Amino acid sequence: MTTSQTRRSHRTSITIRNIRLTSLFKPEDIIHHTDAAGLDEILDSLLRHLALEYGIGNLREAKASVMESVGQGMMARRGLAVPYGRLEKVTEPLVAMATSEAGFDFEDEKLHHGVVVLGPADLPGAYKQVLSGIERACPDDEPVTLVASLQSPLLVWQHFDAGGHHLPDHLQARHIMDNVKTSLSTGDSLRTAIDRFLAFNTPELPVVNSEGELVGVVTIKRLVRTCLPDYLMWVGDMTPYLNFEPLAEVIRNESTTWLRDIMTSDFAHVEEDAPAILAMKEIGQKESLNAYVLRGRKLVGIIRMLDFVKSVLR
Amino acid sequence: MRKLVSLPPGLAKVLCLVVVTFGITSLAHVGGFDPHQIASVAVFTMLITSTALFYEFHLAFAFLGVSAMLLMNVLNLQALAEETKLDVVIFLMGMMIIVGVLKDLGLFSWIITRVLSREGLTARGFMFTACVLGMIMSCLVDEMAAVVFVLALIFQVADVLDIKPVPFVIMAVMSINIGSAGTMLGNPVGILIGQGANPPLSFNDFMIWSFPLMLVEFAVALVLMFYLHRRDIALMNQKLQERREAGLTLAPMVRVPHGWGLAVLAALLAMLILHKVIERALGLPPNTMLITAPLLLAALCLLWRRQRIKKYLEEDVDWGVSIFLLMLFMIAGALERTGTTDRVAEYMVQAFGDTTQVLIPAVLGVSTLMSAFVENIVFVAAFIPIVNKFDQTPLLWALLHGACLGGNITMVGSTANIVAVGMMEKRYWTTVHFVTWLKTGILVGLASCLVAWAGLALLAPEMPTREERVQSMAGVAGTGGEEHE
Repeated sequence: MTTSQTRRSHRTSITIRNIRLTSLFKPEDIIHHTDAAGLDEILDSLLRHLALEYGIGNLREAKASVMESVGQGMMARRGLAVPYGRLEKVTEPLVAMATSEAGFDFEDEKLHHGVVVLGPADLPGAYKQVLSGIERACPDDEPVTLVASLQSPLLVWQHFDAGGHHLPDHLQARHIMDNVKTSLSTGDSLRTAIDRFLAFNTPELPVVNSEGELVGVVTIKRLVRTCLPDYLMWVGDMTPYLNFEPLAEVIRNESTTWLRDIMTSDFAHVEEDAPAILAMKEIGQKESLNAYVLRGRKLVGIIRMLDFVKSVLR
Repeated sequence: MRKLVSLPPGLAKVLCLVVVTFGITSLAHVGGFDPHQIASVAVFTMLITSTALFYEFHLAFAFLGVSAMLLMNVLNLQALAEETKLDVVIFLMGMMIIVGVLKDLGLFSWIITRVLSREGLTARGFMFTACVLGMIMSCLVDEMAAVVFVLALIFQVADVLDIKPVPFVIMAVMSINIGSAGTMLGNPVGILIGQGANPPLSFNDFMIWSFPLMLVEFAVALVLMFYLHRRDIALMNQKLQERREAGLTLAPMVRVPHGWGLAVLAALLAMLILHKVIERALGLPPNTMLITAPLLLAALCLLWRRQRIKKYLEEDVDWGVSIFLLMLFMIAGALERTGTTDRVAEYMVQAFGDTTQVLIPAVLGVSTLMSAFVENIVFVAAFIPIVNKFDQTPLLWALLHGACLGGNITMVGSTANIVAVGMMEKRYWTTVHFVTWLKTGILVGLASCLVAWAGLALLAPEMPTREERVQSMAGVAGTGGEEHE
């Protein structure tokens, strides 16, 4: 079965398997050397093109969906912006792109290459797989203006085709992970952890050693359980705890209680190459809020349940 | 090796249920049982097998069994009501309410806090305390309450030290199972044997003949468990030491109110210990006060803490267990009414004779083996009438100890095990493997059963005969004892 056959099979059996990136668009889907001045204008052109060529439903709704990604989560780096959207009318992933030698404005940056990705609403991981394929095709070490400098849409298409890049067969943990914004070290005290919980407004913090390896997780839930164990909750008469007496000891010792004494080593984690769905399984099984993404034992990312829900279900 | 036939697990279990039920029923037919006896054997076998295979549906199978008994005219509606053993069920329900009240009054939380606040606590000391507490609590407030109590203690330590709780939970639950043979309160089996014996056994009979034997079994099992889990205990000790050196405690040190809880427990024990004296003074039939004690105390507690009545009745009384017991007693009663138990007793006499020293290991062995795989109360309910036929007191104790000790062998052997494994799975998302439990269970089960055998063989000549028990009962209440004849 050819890749295109796989793509165009019946709706219920669509699978993203062994699909070459360039099978998702044609040279005709590339707006070459656009004069547009900003990303918004480019998006209008690309969406209108996709609507005319493939039928993507209501254009205003499509724009709104794509603009959501511009607001948050859009892949944007070194001259390239990849807004995306998920639409009910779309039955298979669609890609269109625009290049600009002069560059177009997005926030404070000058971009030269804009790609819009549309995925079916009921194929949660599809657009992420396409984004991952584009990421592979546009490596960090490639000059920003290389694609924009190519002289025809066909040359742009051939540039991508020459790389022979395929979409990943399934989403991997690293495709949906986020950077770890803060972590604690084993030598930190409970006081540091509580301060960090409050400063970052997070209920959970990873603890790493000097090699950057994840050794445990400290959670507010565990802290509360340490202060108020289940068996104290059995008592009907709460008079002895009315003034938070069980917390007194924790407060007294917070600067001398080391994280290794309260952290748990039983946390949700996945390897970076593991299927992303495993992260959801881990989060569910451990009743956790986050899954930590590891390369070996080194902490390389974090998958927050909320982000997961947002990127896969919305 | 390649699997030749692969069946879905559900279908395999159903097939197993059908084959076992059909097999045993066929044996009854070949053995010359009459149609009513065959029907009661079929229903009981179905119940016992389904309890082992489909525990989550045991209540449904119990309903099914009772319906079948009625439809096959093995029992009529009047007989059904007579066989419910309401005395046992209301005793257990009263105890459930009292346990809920004790928990609510802070007694259990206070004991846990006391254990965790002990200075210089070592892993050996902690596990010894946990096992002894489990055994004692099981004797005082039944094994189910003891499991919840002791597991809270172990979970707290395991959480704080970040260690796997499985080996420690196994040790504690086995202590609880052994402890449940100590008194009438330890296990529904205890009160069932006590009330089902002919004539009934008193609380003091348990304290004299069962409790000391249980203590010896417990001591042997404890030594064995400490040896088998020495590495886990060493790891716990190392972590405890690290924590102590860091100046950290195992739990928040708070003052937990417990005075009223102690008073309620003391009142319950006093009534149970003195039940014979009270019955004699009031001219009541045997064990009336024994059954009334938890009811009376539960009534007083409900009046005293009336704002918590809903909680005690809805959360603390296990209605599922209570209803199951009612159904089970109806089905087991049919075995006796149809004369099935008489026939089985005759076969046992043919096989083992009627010498006490031969029958003790036979009853102990059968009840141990059966309890290892099926709910012990199901088996005991059917076996009491058989044991009663022999008119030998030591066999009642052999049945009790076999049923309680056999529960240690596998993780499905007792309700306490099932509850403990469920609590661990829920809290730690960890599965306890059948073999993990079996490794300790088979040795502890075997060793404690050997001790029970030796103990019963030694004590048997000293035990009162049935006639002596009848005379003793007659002394308690003129007509009460005779009524049981």
